[in-house]
Amino acid sequence: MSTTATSPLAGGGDFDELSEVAGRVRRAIEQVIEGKPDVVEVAITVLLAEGHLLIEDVPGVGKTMLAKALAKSIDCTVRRIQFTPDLLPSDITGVSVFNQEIRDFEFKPGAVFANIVVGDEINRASPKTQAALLESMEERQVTVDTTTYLLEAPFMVIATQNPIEMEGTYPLPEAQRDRFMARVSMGYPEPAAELRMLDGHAADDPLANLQAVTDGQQILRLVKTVQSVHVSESVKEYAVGLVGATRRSQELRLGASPRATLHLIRAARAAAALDSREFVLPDDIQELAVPVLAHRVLPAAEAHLGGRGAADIVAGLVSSVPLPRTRRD
Amino acid sequence: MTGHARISLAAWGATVLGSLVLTPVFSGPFLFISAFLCALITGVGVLLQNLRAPRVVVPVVQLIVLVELISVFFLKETLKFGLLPTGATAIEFNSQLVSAMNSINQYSAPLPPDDNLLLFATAVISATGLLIHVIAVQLRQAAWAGLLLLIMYTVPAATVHGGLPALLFIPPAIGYIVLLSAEGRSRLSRWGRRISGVSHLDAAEPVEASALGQAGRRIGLSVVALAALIPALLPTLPEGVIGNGLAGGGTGGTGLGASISTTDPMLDMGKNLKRGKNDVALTYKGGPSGGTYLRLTALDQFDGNTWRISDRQNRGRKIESELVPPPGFTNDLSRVPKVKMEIEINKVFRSQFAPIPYPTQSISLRRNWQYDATSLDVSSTDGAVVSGKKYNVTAYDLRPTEDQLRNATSRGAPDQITDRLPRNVPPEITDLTKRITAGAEGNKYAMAVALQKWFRTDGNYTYSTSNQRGSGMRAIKEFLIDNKTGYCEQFATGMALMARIAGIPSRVGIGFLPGQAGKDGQYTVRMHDMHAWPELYFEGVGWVRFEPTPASRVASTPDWTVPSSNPTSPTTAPTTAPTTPGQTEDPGIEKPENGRNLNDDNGAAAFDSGNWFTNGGARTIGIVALVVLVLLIPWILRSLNRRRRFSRSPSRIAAEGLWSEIRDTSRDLGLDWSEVATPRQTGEWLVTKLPDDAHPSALRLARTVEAMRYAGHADLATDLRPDAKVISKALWKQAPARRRWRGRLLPASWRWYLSRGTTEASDLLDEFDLLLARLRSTILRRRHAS
Repeated sequence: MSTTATSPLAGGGDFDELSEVAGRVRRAIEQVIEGKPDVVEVAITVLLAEGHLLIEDVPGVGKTMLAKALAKSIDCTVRRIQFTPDLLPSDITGVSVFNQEIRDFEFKPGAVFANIVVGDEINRASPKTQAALLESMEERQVTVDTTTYLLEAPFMVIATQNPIEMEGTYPLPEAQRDRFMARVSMGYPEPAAELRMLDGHAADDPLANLQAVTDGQQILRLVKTVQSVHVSESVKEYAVGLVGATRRSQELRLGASPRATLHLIRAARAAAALDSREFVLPDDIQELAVPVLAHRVLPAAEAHLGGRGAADIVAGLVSSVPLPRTRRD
Repeated sequence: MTGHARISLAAWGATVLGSLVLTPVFSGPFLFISAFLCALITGVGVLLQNLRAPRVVVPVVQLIVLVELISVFFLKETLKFGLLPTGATAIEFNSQLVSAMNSINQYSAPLPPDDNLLLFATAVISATGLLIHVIAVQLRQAAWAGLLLLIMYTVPAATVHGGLPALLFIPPAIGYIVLLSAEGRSRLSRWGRRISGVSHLDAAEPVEASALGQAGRRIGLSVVALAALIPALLPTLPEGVIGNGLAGGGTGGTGLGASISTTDPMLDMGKNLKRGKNDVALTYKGGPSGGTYLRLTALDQFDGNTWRISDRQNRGRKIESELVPPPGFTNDLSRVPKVKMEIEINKVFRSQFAPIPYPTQSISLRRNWQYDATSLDVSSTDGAVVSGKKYNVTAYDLRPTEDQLRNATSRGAPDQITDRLPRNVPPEITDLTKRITAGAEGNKYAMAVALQKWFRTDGNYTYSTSNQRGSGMRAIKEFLIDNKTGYCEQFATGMALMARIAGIPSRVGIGFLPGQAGKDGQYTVRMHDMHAWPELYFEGVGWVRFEPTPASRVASTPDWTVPSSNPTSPTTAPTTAPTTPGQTEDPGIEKPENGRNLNDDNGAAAFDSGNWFTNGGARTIGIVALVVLVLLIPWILRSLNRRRRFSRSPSRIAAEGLWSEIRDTSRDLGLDWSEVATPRQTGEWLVTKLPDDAHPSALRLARTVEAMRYAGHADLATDLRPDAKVISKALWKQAPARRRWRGRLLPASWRWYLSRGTTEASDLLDEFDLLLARLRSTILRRRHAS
């Protein structure tokens, strides 16, 4: 999509570079994940918006594959944590151990010290361990004992989880869910895509062939570019209105937080930049409303019984909240 | 705030808003005083309720407080120690009420500022306020309080002439809605609070902010708006339907009082003549010997159906020392002898016109009375009646000579009305007129004399009130040609009509015969002396009374209407020939006649189809035109809006306007323009509705609006009007013809604007509720803190 308005914004980044890099990352991921362009798009959007991504679905649809593909296509430090019930918080944040040589405690960084952290099956760990991720995700720092260690930018957590109905899972606390910018569901692939996958994956692991197409420094530059995208008052009002509607909705027990509004706007910025646009449209907000908002709200019992999930309810709100009225017509 | 307090407050508001309707009736600060008193008794009620006083005690205490307050405010002198009401207080209160009632009977609205009336208004309003409070708060039947508000509304509706302003209906209606809403909320909260997990302290959200409450309010608002708008758009009923009936009933209802209104004096005269009771209407002293005709008004307009007073808008003049000289009289007025009279009107005669001789030079009625410069009648400005009044009149004793009349040049009518003939004049009447006036050789005076002679003697007409058909064209024809029987109405209107046919401007005077002379020179005029006569216009002389009613009713004619044997003699004008008072009609003969106008309508329709226009057809056309105009209002407003939007030079506002125009056009044509869709989505949606050649325009417009709204570009130089025109045209073209017509005549976008309006009004009410809730939570929080 192109736009009629093309005046470059002062101090803005390079949109050509951004769309070119995004295209490369997209192509790289699509070597591994076939037939899921929407999910890949949201993943890249979250990456550029400096958010964290939650991938939720039943086992075996390629959640981990997506996380690893995204991580591998960027040339930066990647850590993978397999969440299990016996995983301890210190495994994530790191631990101070006594060093005999220097006769002092020495900090051994945990798995979170990386540019991209892949948390696999995050809801299999106990809430205590899940909570260990909290500080690092929001504040991009880790405090062990009394020392605070800053995490290196870019920093992104890509977590996968099974739906909470599955056996042996601990539901992710609301506070932590709120820290993920977006949640995507993989869904089962199309028959054609599944067939292609059979061919492609039969020979060897496609991940092994995946080459990094960009690096952390470039991603940082692109993040700056995204931050230069203009958000008009009208769009802000719309975002606030939409999030406000989740709080008033009779179908929801818990609405979205102000942080959700913030994430929505940030994600919309990235989506606009990916579209080579210097300004955010309400369309961006509408497209991102379900991935950004649905995992943060709690459906009321009636809606739950009626078979309406959070995503349906949020989609319903998107199709009912009017655009902010213009002052004069 | 507790439920009680909320309803109490609402009841107080409803009372105050309801009493606003009394402002056209009473004057003075009654509204403020009664609002204050009501507030105090409401406060007492709330206080007692909070102290858990027994339910029966509260209204009693309130009543005591009200009595005390009224006594302190108005009857301070009679109080013991300046506080305690005594027997004298009650007596004084009663006497003030009685005198207030007298004033109400005597004057018409608006009543003059007067202490008694102030007490009366305040007592009535605050008593009503107390009743509303008791009904709404104690008995929990807020709906019934509406009855009291309605009763309050009927007072001005029945007493104020000329109708109430339509918007006056709104305050009590809003008061009622607020009261009902408060009661509804309290009822709802008694059923239990919403399960929201939020403590009552934080329940800033009103209980009633549900969709149901919204819908209810919307209906309420719509109904009020409709009730206020529809009467404003519809043609009004004649005032007499409600106004006069009740107003005239001040001293005993329409059945007892005799009234003359501005609506149809002829009809009123007929009624009075036919009344069995021959009350004294008035007495007078002075004037020319032998008494004089006293005229109420002159009917100058004949539409073929009724004789009416022509439209007098802005013709009324303030009565100062002297009225204008009689119209048409060109001689030296100072040489005309003047007579002084003192006229006293009986209370039963309720007329908006003062009976006076013609032509009057001056009259002692001043405030609220005016005179009409062409007919020289005196009427009230505000619908007040002349009953019980006593006034002095100086009149010219104008007696034109035969010569003056015979030599009057014919220069047409003094106005556009009095020479106008309706189109449905039957040829028989025209022929008859020609036959009667054939011997006059074209002299207007001779024609008039011949006509009068024809009615009184030559035509062999019989005076009788038993066979009456009013004064419509069919009735006149029947009277003139066929059965030749009628009473003064037919004689007067018949001659007036024939005079117009003969080319003499004419009108019909309505008033009284001179009446019976008493011992001390006082004349007594009774209801059955009411009379009608033609007045004919002669240049240089003015309006001259003729008397076609036969001698069996009116013995003598004005002396100028009977030429002397020698028509050329200049000295024949008699000056002293008295006009003998006419005989009083026998009430026994008179039978009321109903449906007079109906008969005429049928007759006229059957008579001559070509006369349909004047015979009510014009009115039909007028009503149809009005209806068409009303129906076209949406189209007109829509067109104006469209023009406005297309007239703007390129700018942000212009682009938004064009976008809105396309939106409204789509809605008018029944397309489902979404409020939720973004400009980009809408542009793509538009493309699906438009032919290929309009696609670029639609996309361009959508993209420009999008960029303008969201990209932060302030400047906009592209002129989007051609694009908007292309889209608009294409939209109209694609719609089926039926849709197009509906889109033009009933633009659907209007419905949308309307619903937006009601939503906003409803939101405003919600805001009000929210404010109350906040206030309540603040107070509760304070109480908890302390």
